Amino acid sequence: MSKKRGVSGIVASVILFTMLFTIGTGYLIAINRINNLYVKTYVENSEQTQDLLRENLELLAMVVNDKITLLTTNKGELPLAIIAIIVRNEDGGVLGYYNVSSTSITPRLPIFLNPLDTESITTDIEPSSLQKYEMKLLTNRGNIYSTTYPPVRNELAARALSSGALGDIYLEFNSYSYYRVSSNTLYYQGQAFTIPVSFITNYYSAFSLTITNLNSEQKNIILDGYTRIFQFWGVGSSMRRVTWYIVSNQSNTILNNYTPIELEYDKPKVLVFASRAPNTFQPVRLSGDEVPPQGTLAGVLILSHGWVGVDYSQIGGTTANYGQSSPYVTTLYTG
Amino acid sequence: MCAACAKRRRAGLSELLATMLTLTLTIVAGSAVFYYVGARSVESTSLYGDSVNDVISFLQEKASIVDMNYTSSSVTVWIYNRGRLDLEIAQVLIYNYSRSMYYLYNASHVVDLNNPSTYVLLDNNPNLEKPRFSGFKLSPERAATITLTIPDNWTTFANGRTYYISITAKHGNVFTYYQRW
Repeated sequence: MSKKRGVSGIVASVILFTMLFTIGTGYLIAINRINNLYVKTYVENSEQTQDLLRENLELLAMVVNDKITLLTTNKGELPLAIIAIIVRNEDGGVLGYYNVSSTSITPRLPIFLNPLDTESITTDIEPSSLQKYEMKLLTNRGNIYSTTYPPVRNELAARALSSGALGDIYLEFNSYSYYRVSSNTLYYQGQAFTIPVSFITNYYSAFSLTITNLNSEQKNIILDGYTRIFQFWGVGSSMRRVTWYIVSNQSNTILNNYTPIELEYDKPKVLVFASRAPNTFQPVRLSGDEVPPQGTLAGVLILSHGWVGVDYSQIGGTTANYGQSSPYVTTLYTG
Repeated sequence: MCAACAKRRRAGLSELLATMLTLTLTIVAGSAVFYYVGARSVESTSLYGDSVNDVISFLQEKASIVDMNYTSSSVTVWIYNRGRLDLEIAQVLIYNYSRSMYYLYNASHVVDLNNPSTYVLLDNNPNLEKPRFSGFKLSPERAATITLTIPDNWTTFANGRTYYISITAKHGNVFTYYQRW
């Protein structure tokens, strides 16, 4: 009788163990399979990201036989395929979109490039001498490379600005001009590198220059009424200075009140400096100690002030967050 | 039958019954535990599988925004699917740097997020979203354009300004791009 009890206990144990083993093994197999799938995907994803970073395409845009041509060189470690090209003009209009079904591009897409391979891609776009063009190339891994034709001002200026000496504002050197002011009207006199002393004492004067906002983050800049041109020179051991504050203008007419001027990214803007006081137009005619003696070489600074990265509609309630002093040019006062 | 024999037979019967009962109880209880644990195991595996599947889909969902092309009232966006799954769009945000313009496009509405009570139903204005996100599916290694139009009387795009676009895809990835008009 005791043998029978032992058998039934063993049978029950075997049954229970089988049940638990079946469930546990099934569970472990399922979880393991899911984990393997996850690891496989994660590894693939990492490899894909690494491949994306190892891809490097060098572009150079030029005109060959009157057509925009792109010289492409695979400088990366991996073969790549160019699958689409977009050509835009300066205003953002799309002039050409080429993909694998486009026949107006030579050679046809996709273009496969092994490391260090070079390919010249000719579009059907004839550039106008007054237009700027941006070309974007898309690779099969999803990288986008762009270049411009001709090299745009900000690309050239970026190199000059890389030291940070000029900050966000690019100054067009040759645009520095001076004006006679009469009854709120500006009369152009010429470049302001040399000015007769008699002019500055006999007439109300103004200056203008063309500047471009090249903020590295492409944020807008808004100039407040304290922005000014500042001329300074030494007389003996003392320093003399004269200031022309920024004014608002409509063509050649100076407005009585200043309205903050917005500098959009990469859009040249002519600024006029004509006032003795900020925010309101008070014409400047030099007299007394303000007059530089003949032969004075005055240093000129542009002191800009206002807001950066703030929407124009918001500046009323926002504290100014931008200020920059730019070393600029000189003016020689002659007899 | 002697009395002792009768007693022994009764004793054998009760022992058999007891064994049967014990076995029955064991099997019933064991089966109940088996099915309960089995069901929980299947449920747990299924939940874990779904969760990992979501992560895998998230990892395999990738896109590059190639370009934006503006008119004053619309923007066309080139998008390239560099992932391994069909790309489906859940929503798109369009905004400027200060977010004074802040529009949301989803499968059913266009909403001005600065004033959420201002919205347009796409069923009544299907041309505002081309193609409609509800039917948009982009295969891997394919490029496509979507054109989003700003509803009448809303602030439009200004030339020279930079605008941002954030595309939220079905599995939760967000692809952001900006371009100046």
